[in-house]
Amino acid sequence: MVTILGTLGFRPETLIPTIKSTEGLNTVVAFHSDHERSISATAEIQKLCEMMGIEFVHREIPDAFDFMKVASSIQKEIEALRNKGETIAVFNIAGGTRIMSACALMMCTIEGLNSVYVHDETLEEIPLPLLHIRYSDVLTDMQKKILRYLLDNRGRSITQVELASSFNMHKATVNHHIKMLVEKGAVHLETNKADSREKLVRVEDSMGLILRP
Amino acid sequence: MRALLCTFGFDEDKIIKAMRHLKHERLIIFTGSDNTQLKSYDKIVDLCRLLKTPMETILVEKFNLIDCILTISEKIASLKDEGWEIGVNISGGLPLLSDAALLAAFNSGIEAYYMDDVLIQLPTLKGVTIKERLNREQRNTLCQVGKVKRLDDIRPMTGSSRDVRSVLLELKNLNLVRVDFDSGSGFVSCTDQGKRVHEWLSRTDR
Repeated sequence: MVTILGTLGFRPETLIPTIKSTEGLNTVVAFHSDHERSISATAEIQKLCEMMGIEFVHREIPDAFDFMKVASSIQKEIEALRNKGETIAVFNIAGGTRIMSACALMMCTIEGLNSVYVHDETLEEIPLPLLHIRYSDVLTDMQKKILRYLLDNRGRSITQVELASSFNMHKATVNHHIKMLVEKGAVHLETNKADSREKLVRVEDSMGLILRP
Repeated sequence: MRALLCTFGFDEDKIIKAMRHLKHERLIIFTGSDNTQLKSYDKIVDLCRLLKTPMETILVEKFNLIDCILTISEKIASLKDEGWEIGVNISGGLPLLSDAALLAAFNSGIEAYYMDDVLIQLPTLKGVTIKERLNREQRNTLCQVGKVKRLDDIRPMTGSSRDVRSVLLELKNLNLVRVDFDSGSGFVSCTDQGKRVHEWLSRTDR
């Protein structure tokens, strides 16, 4: 089953070129905000899909300005489609809020999906020069475990000593992994205010998006 | 020494917030030419003058996504050559310009941020560039395929023992090339996505 995804703003015409150009299209999934004009654009796409015999699914994103919520919603949808065995042909990122479009682009890079933009005036589809980032090739298993641990314990202050103890590893080994993660920008170190000799290891919430469950 | 790259439309607030949150020694703004007439733009210029922060403005064709991606990517490549650390703040300007900056950040392996009420670091990883996502044989072969060629004309990379057809198959699986057969002869060409990646590599590879 061939599916396309799209972020939809006020203009249904930004999604139509991808509906036209995708061979054997079965399903269109559109992400839209709760803005009246976005809902109206969604209704137009729904009507078009009904006329063409294409299944239409729309996902309303109540807070289209919350980066992490939008990114997580899109990622969950991609996962659900893949679990159902759907082939995602392309993600059209031309519509929606800036955050919706940027999150969609980010997910295409992380999840390895083709992505297109549609020119505002000519409505020409523009494929994006985007290749899947295989984080499994970039992060070692140990680095991923450390990131996961830090994300699961975000509310707490975690030192390198605690990490070494939790993973039953020598402190120097943990320090090496942390150094690699700092160089990649995945974590950063802060001086512990309670004990200035200690460094706390911090991770951004958004790093959770690159670690598949 | 870090250079802060920002996309700008009409709202200086997001840039000023990013300047406060991200330590930098140089500010580079990407925007459309009409935006430099705005009072909000003048505010940023004034602020940089007061802070003695060198500021550079690079004009982009703000409705041309590919031009925006390549312009930002070229600037990133030249800053990297000069030894700068780079952070990109994608919060200003048209969504198209933000997307271009985000894609350039992903492809160039640099930090990217979104500034709203709080600063959000986006999950790009430093040093992980589009170049590393293709191996040397794949890059070499993609560059040869730059325009339609007979399959037999594609040569293996010097010093490589890999069969050129298996490299082409990998590029085909990445949706970067297509192979067509006409009267028994094979022809190979870049897909649209392959053309974009090829263009990106040739304009930013140093």
